[in-house]
Parts: sequence; C-alpha cells; structure tokens
Amino acid sequence: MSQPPIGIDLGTTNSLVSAFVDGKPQLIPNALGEFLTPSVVSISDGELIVGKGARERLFTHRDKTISLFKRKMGTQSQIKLGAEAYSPAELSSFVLSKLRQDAELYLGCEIRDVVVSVPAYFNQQQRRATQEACKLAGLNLLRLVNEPTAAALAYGVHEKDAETQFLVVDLGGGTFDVTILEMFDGVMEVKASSGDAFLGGEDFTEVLAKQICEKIERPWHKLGGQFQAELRAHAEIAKVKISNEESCTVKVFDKQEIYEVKLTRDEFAEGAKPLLQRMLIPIERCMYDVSLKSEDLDRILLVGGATRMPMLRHMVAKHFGKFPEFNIDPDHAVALGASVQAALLAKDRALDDVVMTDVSPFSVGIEIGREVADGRRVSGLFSPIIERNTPLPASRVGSFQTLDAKQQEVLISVYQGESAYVADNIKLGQYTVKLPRKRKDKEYFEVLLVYDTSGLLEVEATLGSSGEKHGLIIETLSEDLSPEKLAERLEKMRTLKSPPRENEVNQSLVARLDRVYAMTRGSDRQRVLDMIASFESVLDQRDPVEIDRIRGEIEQMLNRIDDFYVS
Amino acid sequence: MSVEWPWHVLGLSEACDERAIKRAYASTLKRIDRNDPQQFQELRSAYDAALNNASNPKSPSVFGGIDQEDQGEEGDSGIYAEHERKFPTFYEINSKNVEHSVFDGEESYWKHEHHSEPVVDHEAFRKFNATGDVNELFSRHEGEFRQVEEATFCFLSDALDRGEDISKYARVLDFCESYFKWVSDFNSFSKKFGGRLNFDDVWNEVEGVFRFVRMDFDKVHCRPVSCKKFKYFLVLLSLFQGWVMFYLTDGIKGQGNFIIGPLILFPMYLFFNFVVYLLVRSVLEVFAFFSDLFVKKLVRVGGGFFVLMQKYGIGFAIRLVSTRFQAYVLTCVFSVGITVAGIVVQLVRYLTA
Repeated sequence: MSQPPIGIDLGTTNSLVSAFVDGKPQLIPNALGEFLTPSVVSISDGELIVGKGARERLFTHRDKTISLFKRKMGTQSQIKLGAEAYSPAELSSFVLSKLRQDAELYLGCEIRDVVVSVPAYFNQQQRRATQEACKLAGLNLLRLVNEPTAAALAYGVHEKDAETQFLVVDLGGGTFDVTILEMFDGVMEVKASSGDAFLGGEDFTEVLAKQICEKIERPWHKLGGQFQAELRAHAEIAKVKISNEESCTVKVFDKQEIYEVKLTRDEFAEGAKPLLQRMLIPIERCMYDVSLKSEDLDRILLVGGATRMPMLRHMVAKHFGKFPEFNIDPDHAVALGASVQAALLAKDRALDDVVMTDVSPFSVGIEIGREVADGRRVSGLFSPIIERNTPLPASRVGSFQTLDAKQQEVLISVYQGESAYVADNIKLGQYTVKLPRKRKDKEYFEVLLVYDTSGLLEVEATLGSSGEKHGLIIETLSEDLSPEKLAERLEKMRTLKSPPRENEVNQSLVARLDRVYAMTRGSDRQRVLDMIASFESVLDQRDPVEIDRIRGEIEQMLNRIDDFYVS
Repeated sequence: MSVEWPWHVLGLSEACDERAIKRAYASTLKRIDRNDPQQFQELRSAYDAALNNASNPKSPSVFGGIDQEDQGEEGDSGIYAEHERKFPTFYEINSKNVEHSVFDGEESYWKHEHHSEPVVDHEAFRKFNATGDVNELFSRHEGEFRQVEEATFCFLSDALDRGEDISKYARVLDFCESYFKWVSDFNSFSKKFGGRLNFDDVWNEVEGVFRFVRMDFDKVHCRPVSCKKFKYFLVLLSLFQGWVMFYLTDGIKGQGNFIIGPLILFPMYLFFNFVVYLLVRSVLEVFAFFSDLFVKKLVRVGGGFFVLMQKYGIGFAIRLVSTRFQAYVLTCVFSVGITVAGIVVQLVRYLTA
C-alpha cells in the first residue's frame, strides 16, 4: 500500500502527525492513545525516551532530559544529554522518528515523504536545521509549510468556495506568527506573514513562574535549576487552570515550609502585558504590508495551544473589534493543515481545484556600499531586491553600479532580513564576478533573484557593458551534509535504542511516579513509594490485564496528588 | 507591451470589476505551471495591476507614475538611457510592480498634479526646522500621526523637486527618523522615495545627515585607504637605516662584516619603527576619541550649522581617513626624519674628527 500524504507539526512543546485519508485530514494517535506527543527527549541507560515519559523525567533527570530545543534550531549550540552532546536538529530528529513510528504502525505502511510545518518567521538557517532533522530521521521532506498557512489550510479546506479575507494568529509554545490570507474560487493566497521566532506560550509560563516566585519572596535567579523547573511545572498547570477559572492556588514546598500561592487571572494578564505588546508589532506590520484595516478582515483565527489564554483572546478581540474563532482545536490545526499541504503536493483528488500561493516572509537582497555626499564610503548596507511578502515564486531585478571605475570585481553576497545593515541579516551565499578590464566608467550591472516555493534561490548578475551573465544557485534549504557525515551522525544516534513500544505506557507511568515522588514529602511520599513498589511487582508478573488494572488505579491517585498542588 | 495588458494575461477582453478579475486570476492560476517563476510572475503582476486599476478607476493608465519617469530618463545621462535599451525586462517588471503604500489613493506624490493634496504647510516645516518645536506641526494636523507623516513626506518631496539641498532640513529628517523610523528601516524609506529618479542621491544625503544628527559615529566607516605601501616602505626603511648606520659607524672605520653587520642592525630598527608606530597610533586614537566627543557636543549645542560643517568635512577632518593610515604616514615621516638626522650627525662627527 502506498503511503497517504503525511503532515507533521514539529512543535516547541508538542508535536503531532496527521494523514490525509479519504479526502480529509486526520490525526494519528501515539502509543499512549494521545494525539499530542511532547517534544521532550530523555536518555536512560542508553535508551531513548521521547514524549510524555520523557516529559515526566524533566524534574527527576534534569541532566538527561531536554525540552524546548526547537528554540535553538538553526544555532550552532550543542545540548548535553548524559554523556553525549546533540545538536537541536538531532534532537528534533528523535521526535520525528518517534512520530514516524506511530504513523507507520497506525497506517500499516512505510512512510518516507512528509510535509513538516515550521513557524512562518523561521529564517533560512532554522529551516535548514529542520530539513536536516528530517534527513536524520530518514524522512524525505517534500515541503516546509508555514504554520499559520497550514492552520488556514485546515480551516479553509472545508469551505473552498467561500470568499473571505482572514487573519491567523498562531501562538505556539515557542513561536508567534501572524498571517493574512485571502480565499476566493479555490485559491488560497497568503498575502503577508510576519512574526516573532522567540515569543511563545513558554514565555507566558515563565511570567507566571516568576510571579509565584515573587509571592514566596525569593529571588528568581537564586533559586537553582531544580527549583526553577519545579516552579515552571506548577506554572504550566496553573496557566491552563486560570484559563478556565478566575484564580487558582499553587502549593510550593520550600525548605520544610509549604507556601500557598494564590494566582489570579488579572494579575497574570498584568504581568504578561509586555508580551502582549510584543505581539502587536508583527500584527501591525502585516496589516501595513497589505494595507488593510481591521474592518476588511472577515475572520480571525486563533491557532496554537497558547491562544487558549483568555487575555490573548481579549487582546485580539479588542484590537480588531471582532471575536476570534477557534472551531478546530488550536493544538491540532497546524498538523491537520500540514497533511492537507501534503495532499496538495500529491495532487490528491479531493483537493483538485484548490491552489495555494505563499509569500516570502523576509526580504532578500544583496550587500551594497554607498558613497555619501563628501566622498566617504559606507559599506555593509542591505539593498532588498525581493521585498518581504512578495508572492512566491518571484523573480526580481535590482540594478547596481560599481563604486569605483577601477574596480576589477564585485562580490555579490545575498542576505535575508529587514535590517538596513547586512550584519544584522542572515547570509545566504555569495560569489564574485570579475569585471571586464579597461573600462573608462563605472560598471553597471543587474542582479536577478529568482526565489521559488521549494526554497531555491537563483542569483544571476548581468554586466551592463558586455551583457555577460554570471549565475549562482543557492539551495537555501539543503545544507551540504555529505553522505559520509550523515552516516557518521546516524551511527552516533543508532547507539541509542528505542524502548519497545508496548512498554511505553508503563514506562511513562514509572517516570510520572518518580516525578511525583520527588515532588511530595511526608506521608504522601510513602504512599507514592508504595505505588511504585506495587506497580513494579505487577510489571514483573507480566499479566497485561492486571497491569492495566493497577495502572488505572495508580493514575487516579496520581491525578489527585497533582490536583492537590495546583487547585 | 500590448495595449490590452494586463487584461489579456488574465483572459479578459476589457477592464472588469474586482470580482471578475479575481475569478479570472483563479482560473488562470490553476492552469499555468505554478512552479515556473516567469509564468507565475507574469500572471501575478497582471493581476496586481488589474486590481489596482479596478480600485482606482480615476487613473486611466496603470502606469500613471511610470510615464513621467520614462520622460525624465530621456534627458538623463547616457548610462541610464543605454541601460534601459539593453534591459527592457527590468523596467517592465518594475513598472508592473505597482506598490501599495501608505499613500495609496493619492499614490505617488512625485507626480506634480497631486501636490495639492494633502495641504502641506511649508512654513510650519521651515519653522520647525529652525526651532525644533514639534507641537506646532502636530497641532496643524490635530495629532493625526499618519497625516503628519504624509505632510512631512510631501514637504521633503517638494524640497527635492525644487532642487533644494535636503541636508538643510536636518531637524525634519531627524524627526522622520525618530517618529516614523524612515531611515533605520531602509525598506520603508525606499518605498517612499524609491520612485524618484535621484533616489540614490537622496538616500546618500539623508543617510549622511541622519547619521551625524543621530551621532552614530560607530557606524561611520572611514575612507578605506590601503596602508600596504607604507608597511613595505617602513620595512625597506629599516633595512636602509640598518645599512646606513652600520656604514657610518663601523663600516667607515673598516671594521665588521658588510653583510652581517647591517642585517644585525635591521631588526633593531624594525622594532624601533614599530614602537614609534604604536605610540603615534595610540596618541591619535585618543585624540580622535576626544575630537569626536567635542564634535558631538558642538552639534548638540549648535545644531544645524555644525551639520553643514560636517558635510563639508571641516567638522571632523580627523576622521576623514582612518587613524591607522594617519599613524603610518606620521611614522614614515618621523623615521625618515630620524634617519636623515642620524646621517647628518654621523657625517659631522666624521668630518670634524
């Protein structure tokens, strides 16, 4: 059986996988029967744990567990996990492999081709890292789709004949995106995309954690990692809680003392104000780029788990004078849309008359120098050729002149970004063009940039005097990962075994017990220890029915303990 | 370019309303190869132009702003004209790409017929430039931020059209930067002034003025002058010094080896020259630092006049070339002086002895 179109939402906190089956996208559950797989990786005795089990180990095995690595994508940082250090791309590939396994088991066929979603405001380096992660996970990346676009696809695929103009606000765990789309006659057109690659739900959690910290009158930076992680976990639960209720109480143990901290929705909203302010910048930029007023928008869609926060909904409603929609679970929309995109690429018959056009969220241009009035020269300036939010594929020409008549060559360096100084933008590539000798005058030349949807960037310089053409193709997406290097890295990762799938449920419960044990004290702690002992002994008997029964009981008790801490 | 452009690209025979254009675009888009940039762009620009036309029925031509530009080029220098002939595609693409801007509706202010709207109070701007009182400007437009921005743009545009030196309006430019961030966001600046023929000059001037007003000295790059020649010269000079000094002291008395002697003295002189260079350079750096501070102070106190001074290179002449270059020149002069003095002294001693 050939594989159906597969879409993966590789998120900061949670990842999902979905397939396009029978003319509509559907999510694929993992071994625990849940759609959301936490993007957390942990290592225990050479065994690799991904997902919920790993998330429970965040407190008990802090040095062997890592989360939020999507935020480091595209950087050179190496994250130490036990004895070995891993790049963010490698860590992401663990999550991808995990999702692939789940999907293969669920669909009963091998999976190679996938569409992966990335925040619209990811720059080329971050996208490159994502592609590398796919390669390491043995997946063939068909296309990177922007998260808000994917979300819009998930919404739009049901009503392809509607004619609307709408705005998607996507606040995920670690990234924030805004996209304006227009739909008519089966055409989905992205008009503008903007965002902040370093703003997300985790920042809100951090605000809440610091508020707890303030209330127990301890300085945040002196808390120590263990305690900070604990507070963050409390804050995470509290954040979800006060999205539904006006206030909640968090119990914090600190040096033999129990603090009861009351958190209210209003206080949280007050503390998160700077974050909300930051969100307005990309929104305004988008509206400016397409010169729209808020009245022109027909709908506003909220995507991403963090948009469940009431203050965010209020902010959006107040800013646009319109109530936002969230018909599809905000956690699911992106993954669903990603598989719709995959289906579009596979030319699925259900989507015969749907076409999507996307834009380039950044300006692309070259480095230039200028001579100012008194003959001084200023170098390192950026001259955009393809401006941000140009529909893709795009080809644009910019014309330039050499600074000096005697100049013998020009260096064409291509950058991506919005700053006037190239130093603050992202470099995509460069090459040198030799100029004809024996010129009397400054040389004119044209630079043609062709940027297509798959991330291929073509640069061509044409000399004004001779008409000579010098071209360069930059594969902005594929890093030159040589086969040997790839094999080497795969080898390094192969040393890690994945635990058998049927154990996963039990393993995640063991990890949870361990976490709760570390959190509690006194008689509660004894109870947890009893639970651990009985569960271990039941596991040894290998009786699945009995294991299921005990697991259910223990889970109930653990829920009660967790509720006690945040109520 | 055919007369029916952009309509024929979309498969339409005449100008239509927005709805029809969108429908035509959708059906054409589904037909073409969307991965081919050329095809897509052709369709896309036709679509944009058609939409633009539909929303502005007043202007019969989609290229209202371009015709004038073409005329202007006729009289321009040869390079531009020739250039145009060689690369017709460039102007085609750009001209199709009619940008939307804040000034949509009264699109392209560089067109003279549009200058009546909105009313720009030139006097208010001149006054503001002289006094720096922002309130006056805002009071005219009842605090309407966007209107002030438009009016500022019109004012500068007018000044440029009259051929005035834009650097005279340092305060206005400063105002543009601090309120509308025109200069730090090059995109936004080029969107506003990009249509002008002399865009490059305008940007240069504005940027030059702006940098100075903002006192952004770190970003000012000095004229890059190669110091290589001086480096080689200093090495050769050291060799020469070694030889001359050896010849005039030991050599003249007939002692020592004529090859080894100078070679021993050579590194000594090289080191000596290097130390001199370091000393001179550090003194110059300190001097430049204080002179920068001084000029900044002057500008803060004196305003526009010193901006002009800077423009003509008086303000901080010290910064016209890098301190490195200055240090090399001074070191060379010094070393040559020392050598000449040494020769004279030795000769006098030899002759009198």
